[in-house]
Amino acid sequence: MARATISRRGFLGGTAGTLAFMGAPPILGAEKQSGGLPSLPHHKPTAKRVIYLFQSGGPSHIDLFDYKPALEKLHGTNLPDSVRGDQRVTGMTAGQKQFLVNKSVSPIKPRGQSGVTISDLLPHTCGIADDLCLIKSVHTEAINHDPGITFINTGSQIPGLPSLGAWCNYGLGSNNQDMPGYIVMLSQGNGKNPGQPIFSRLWGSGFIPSSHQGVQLRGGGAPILYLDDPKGIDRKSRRDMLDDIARLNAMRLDQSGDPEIATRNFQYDMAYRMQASAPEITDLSDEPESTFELYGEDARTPGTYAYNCLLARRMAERDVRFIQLFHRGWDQHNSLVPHLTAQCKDTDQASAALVTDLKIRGMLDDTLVIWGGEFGRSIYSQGKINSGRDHHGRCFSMWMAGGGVKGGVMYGETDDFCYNIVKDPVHIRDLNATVLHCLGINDKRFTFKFQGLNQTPTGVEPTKVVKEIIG
Amino acid sequence: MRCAGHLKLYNLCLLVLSSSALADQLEFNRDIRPILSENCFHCHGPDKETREAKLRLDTREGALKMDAIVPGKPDDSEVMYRITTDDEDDLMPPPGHHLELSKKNIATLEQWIKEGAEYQQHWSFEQPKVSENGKLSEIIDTEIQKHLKNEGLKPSPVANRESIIRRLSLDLRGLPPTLAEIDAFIADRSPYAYEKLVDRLLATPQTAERLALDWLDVARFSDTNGYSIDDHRDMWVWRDWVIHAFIKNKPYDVFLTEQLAGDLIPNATPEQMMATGFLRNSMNTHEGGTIAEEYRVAYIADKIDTVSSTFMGLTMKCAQCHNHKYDPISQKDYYRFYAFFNSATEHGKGATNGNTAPFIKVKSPLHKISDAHKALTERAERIRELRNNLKNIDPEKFASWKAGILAKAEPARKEQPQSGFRFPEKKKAEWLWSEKSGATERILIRTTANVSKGLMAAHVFFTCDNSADFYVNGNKLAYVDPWMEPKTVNITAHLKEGKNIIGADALNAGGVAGFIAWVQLDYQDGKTDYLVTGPDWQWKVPGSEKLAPQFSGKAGWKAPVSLGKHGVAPWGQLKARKGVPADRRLATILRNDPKSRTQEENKLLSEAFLKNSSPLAKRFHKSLGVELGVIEKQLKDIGKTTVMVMDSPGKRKTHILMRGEYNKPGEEVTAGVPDLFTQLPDDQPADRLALARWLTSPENPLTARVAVNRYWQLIFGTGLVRTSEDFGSQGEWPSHQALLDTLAVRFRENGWDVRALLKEMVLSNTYRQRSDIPLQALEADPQNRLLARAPRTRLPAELVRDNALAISGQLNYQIGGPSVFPEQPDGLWRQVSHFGYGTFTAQAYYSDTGGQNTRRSMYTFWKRTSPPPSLSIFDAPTRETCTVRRLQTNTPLQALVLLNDPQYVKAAGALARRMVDEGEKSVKDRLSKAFRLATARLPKSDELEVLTAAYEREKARFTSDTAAARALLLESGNTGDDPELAALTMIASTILNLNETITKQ
Repeated sequence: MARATISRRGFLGGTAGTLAFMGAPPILGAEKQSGGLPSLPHHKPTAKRVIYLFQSGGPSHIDLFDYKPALEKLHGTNLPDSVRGDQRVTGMTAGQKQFLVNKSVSPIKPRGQSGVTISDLLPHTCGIADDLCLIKSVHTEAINHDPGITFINTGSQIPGLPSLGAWCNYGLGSNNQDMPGYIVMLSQGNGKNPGQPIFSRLWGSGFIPSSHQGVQLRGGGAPILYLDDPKGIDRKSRRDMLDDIARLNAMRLDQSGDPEIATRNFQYDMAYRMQASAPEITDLSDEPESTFELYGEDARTPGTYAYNCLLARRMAERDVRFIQLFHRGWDQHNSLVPHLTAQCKDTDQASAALVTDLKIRGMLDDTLVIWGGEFGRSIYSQGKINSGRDHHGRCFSMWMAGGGVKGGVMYGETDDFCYNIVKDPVHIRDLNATVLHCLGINDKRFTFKFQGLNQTPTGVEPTKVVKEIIG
Repeated sequence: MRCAGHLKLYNLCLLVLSSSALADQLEFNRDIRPILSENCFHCHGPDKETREAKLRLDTREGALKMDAIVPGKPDDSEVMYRITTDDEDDLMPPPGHHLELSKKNIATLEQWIKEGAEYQQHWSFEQPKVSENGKLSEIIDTEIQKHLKNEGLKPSPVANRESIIRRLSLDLRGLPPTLAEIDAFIADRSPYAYEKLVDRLLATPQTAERLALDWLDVARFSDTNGYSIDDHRDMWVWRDWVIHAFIKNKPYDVFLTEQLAGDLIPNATPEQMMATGFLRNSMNTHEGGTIAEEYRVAYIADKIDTVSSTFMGLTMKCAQCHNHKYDPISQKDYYRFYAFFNSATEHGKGATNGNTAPFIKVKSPLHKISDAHKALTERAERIRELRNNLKNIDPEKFASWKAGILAKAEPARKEQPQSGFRFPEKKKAEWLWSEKSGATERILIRTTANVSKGLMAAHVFFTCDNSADFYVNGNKLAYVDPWMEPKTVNITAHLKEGKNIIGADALNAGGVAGFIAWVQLDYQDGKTDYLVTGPDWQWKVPGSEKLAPQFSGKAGWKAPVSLGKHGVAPWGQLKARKGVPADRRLATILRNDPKSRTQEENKLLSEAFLKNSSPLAKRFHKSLGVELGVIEKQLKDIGKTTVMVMDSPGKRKTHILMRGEYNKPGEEVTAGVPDLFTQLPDDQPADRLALARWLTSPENPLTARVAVNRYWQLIFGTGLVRTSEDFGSQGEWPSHQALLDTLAVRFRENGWDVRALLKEMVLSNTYRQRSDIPLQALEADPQNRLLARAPRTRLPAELVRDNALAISGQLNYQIGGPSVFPEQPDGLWRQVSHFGYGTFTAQAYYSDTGGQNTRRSMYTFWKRTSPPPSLSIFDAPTRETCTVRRLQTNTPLQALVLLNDPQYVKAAGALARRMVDEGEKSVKDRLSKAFRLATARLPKSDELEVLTAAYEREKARFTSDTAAARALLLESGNTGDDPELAALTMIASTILNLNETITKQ
């Protein structure tokens, strides 16, 4: 454990140790980066940070991205057993007598110069087609939400492991000392409201220290829990009080020589700075009107997906390492057309705006944007035609943009039924390995010892970085 | 750029650590096994499936067979060539494995081969050696000092009494000592003063709570089901069982056996059965579409993980899918272990909103039913109030809706009874009519009033749907319409001594009808008679006459039909009827005091309001209803509460699951313990009881070691084996193996007495040292593994909060019972949960008010998918899986919690009040006292100067800014704008934020 421990204490005990040896008060802001492992990055990164637009519930690849003209003819016919094979079907449709093929509910066409295929339901996303790398062959073993969303975010269907963002925060540290290195924002779509539950474990730290877990930035009220001083305490009096605490702690430090005390003082100072910097992120008064034209009017309303996308850009500007949005409501077992349309309406403009905005600001080059959910949906209808789709993990679509990933590219292919992968499969482990690769991390060399094992972000199974999509 | 200064420091620490770990003579287990395990065993270890080149290096036999190792001759050993060659094809570990042997490790291996390459069985799988005699606390000191001497270090001097009592109190009770306790201890000059203190603290129920707290992590205790919807479950009785076990100092072997197999103990008592809730604390799911068998397997895997980590210090998890790469545990071993749990009836699909079978109903061994009843009643009342307070459900809409209703309805008439007119609870007037359907158009209704001498006053209070004339002795005295505005009439003048007939001519215009009346007769001697509508009244169809109905005579009078009783406010419980002007009824209800409204009225009100309200408001209201239902059910079951337990009908066969997949059964296996250990006896069934007996048998090398190590961790901050969850080959070598073994053997021989073990640990001089860290000591042993000083550790999350509550005098010491809901920021659960979908419990958080708000943190309702934030921030685990050891962090979010969490702001307010209320007059005395409450010592003069200056500064600020004073006092639970109290609140908060306050030292 020695290595991991020392590394873990790099920021905490280590910082404190230095200070204790020097016997001096903490010098703030001397270094921009805080934390992170000395052994990282393993190679030159193509991305400095990640914005992960997680679409919780399982967006339909069939209706949004995976273009299959052959389905026109097959619509309403029974899915051949040979296609379905031995697939595990959830308990929700396992009892169905028929598995009727249901074509896309809205036209999907090649877009832009590159011809990346996108649905009419996502008009703004169509506009950034040439920036996107659409992976149509992502797959997972999970067939239900809890295991599925836990799998893609933590590398295992069984809870207990650290999330991808926590790993990155642990390995790379934060580029901004005044803000947490991993920030999470939640929103709820109008498609299925409420959507499937999500869990703090999705941004949790598992067995690595909890300081690396995602910190939730909230829509209303204090953007970070407990950020606001109680009424009756203004900035100056808070500063005075922190100085008192620091002074009293320093006296104890002199007496006891405990380096943790210096760290504690350092953390109080960081808290104080965070109290100023977090509200800056959520204060949109410096945004011009054009911002809201780009992201949509929803971006003015705290708690909406569009607002969170705008905040994601503001955090990226402040160099937050890993920013993750969770948007709920993509679970269209029924009311497929109205609910899917609503989900698209909630998310399309702002997702595209974020990519465009980053590009305009010259930040897309080193910011990796990821869009996708825990699985896709079944080609066969759940119940009557056009009424809904069950979960489908054997193949689904995700897109990435920026951060060294090629734009205007499609990767992987599925069969005529959007059911099985016929070319270039990308397991969600491979996907996570690829994300880490862009950040300069080799997923198998990046370890934390726990329960006697060198745990990695992608588990013990082999992974394959999708090098073909990296420019 | 990275901070180079830090890097150098880590290297320094690493060097220091390793050199202090290296002894002159190499020992396989300590020096060699970790190197081989880390770098070689993956391909050349116990797992033959993945073994390369048929070479195994985990046994001497295997290593010698192929000349991989030639004892005494490193140059002839293939291993040495392989790890030092420049040839990439031959180099080991292969470059692609991302492992690299350090020069130092290579030198160590070389030396070991030179010395003869002796192997040892992994240390923890061998029996602990028989230990020395003597007093354990002294053996602890001898062993610790032996190691210190080897490193040229010396123990620290004994800490002063204030430090000692605080340390002891925090370690054992998890709470600071009171000032009286400190004074008494300092004053006690007897040679046994310390031992007496130890005995006294060990016997407190707070110590039992403290010990139970760690067990809740291990047992992944939670109030919710964990997966997906994460609705509630009822396991608090099991938590009571654990606390009770520690109160009774239940021997550890019994503690283990009952939790693992209480149901299988012959003639098992309900208490023994409920102990198996330990196993059932696994998460479960009822997510739609779940394949039940897949999850049934997952629940068993979780039980194995918990049992093996907790009791055996082994990670068996790896062997679920393949043979263990590092420890000699095969996949077959895993599934033989699995078979112990596989016969249970627990289903893969969990129940909704509560416990999943099998469960039993039991009485808490600990908790007073009356206390639980009171707590739940209070909570029900709180939820009901939240629910009925429509203003709260949808603040924006309510005001305008109410105004609209009141405007539409007529202005309120003064229909309340005049003074002297009372409605005693016990008198139940009933709505009466001639038939249940109440459809009859017109009836006469009557009763006889016997009036005695000395009548002072008589009133009637009555109403009818739709209308009625009221008669006394044939005289019409009043008319009522509409029914929801009852009439009060003074009838004193119309009554005579003796018999009187009173009654009504009642009319119904369609729909359901009903008549209700209340007559009150007050006499001069203070006596009161009541005549209320009930079965003794009579009715009949009136004749054709419309003007003068006949109330006398006998013909045609019959017993009426009762339609329902009235509630608190007259006449609340009448069912809403068709044709009634709803808005007028609503207006009447709205005008009433909200507290006096009946359930029926609240229902009418909320239904009407929610009809046009937002979906969110509807969900909110519904969700509160679900929570209320749960509490009401719990209240009903309070005498006996359900708790999930294990059972074992023994019908299911067990197969190895290929790659750990639930649907790929392989070879059939029977229950048993891993091959490497002594096997279970043949003469008894291989069930969980046999497993428990095996674990607690003297031959078991692990159980006692793992247990004493965990208690060492509790007292000294770090286990003798630092990886307290892993005693396997990848775990860390014990810092003091002889000591660990002695403690383990003596623990077992001493009847597995946990309290006695703790007592010996804290009686040691090692425990009583000062915790200050001299600079050389930090350099020599930064992690304090050698204990040349007492440890300094931040308090665990729950105790950070418990301390603040105790220091500020707010702590509610109630022990056990249902979980509580202290204040937390709004909306956290709702943001992630299925709130508003279906009727699931625990989807939105409703905090308690009053005394339940300040219970110890171990009673806080634990939702796995959104644990209490201020505890998580201080490193509390999610309780999704077994946690034997928490990591400690030091972060800015922790600062924000202590500074701004309303719970801590209120604690500061309470501490400020305490400074004023408890008699100290001077500012210095007040500040000193608060400081002492938090740290057990008086502030030094420079510290007091800082506090005093801060106080004066804040006082001046609040004097000139009374609005700020008022605001802070309000936030911190006080009132007014006293600048002194506000300034004290600031100082109290400062004290609660000190590193010392949250550190055991």
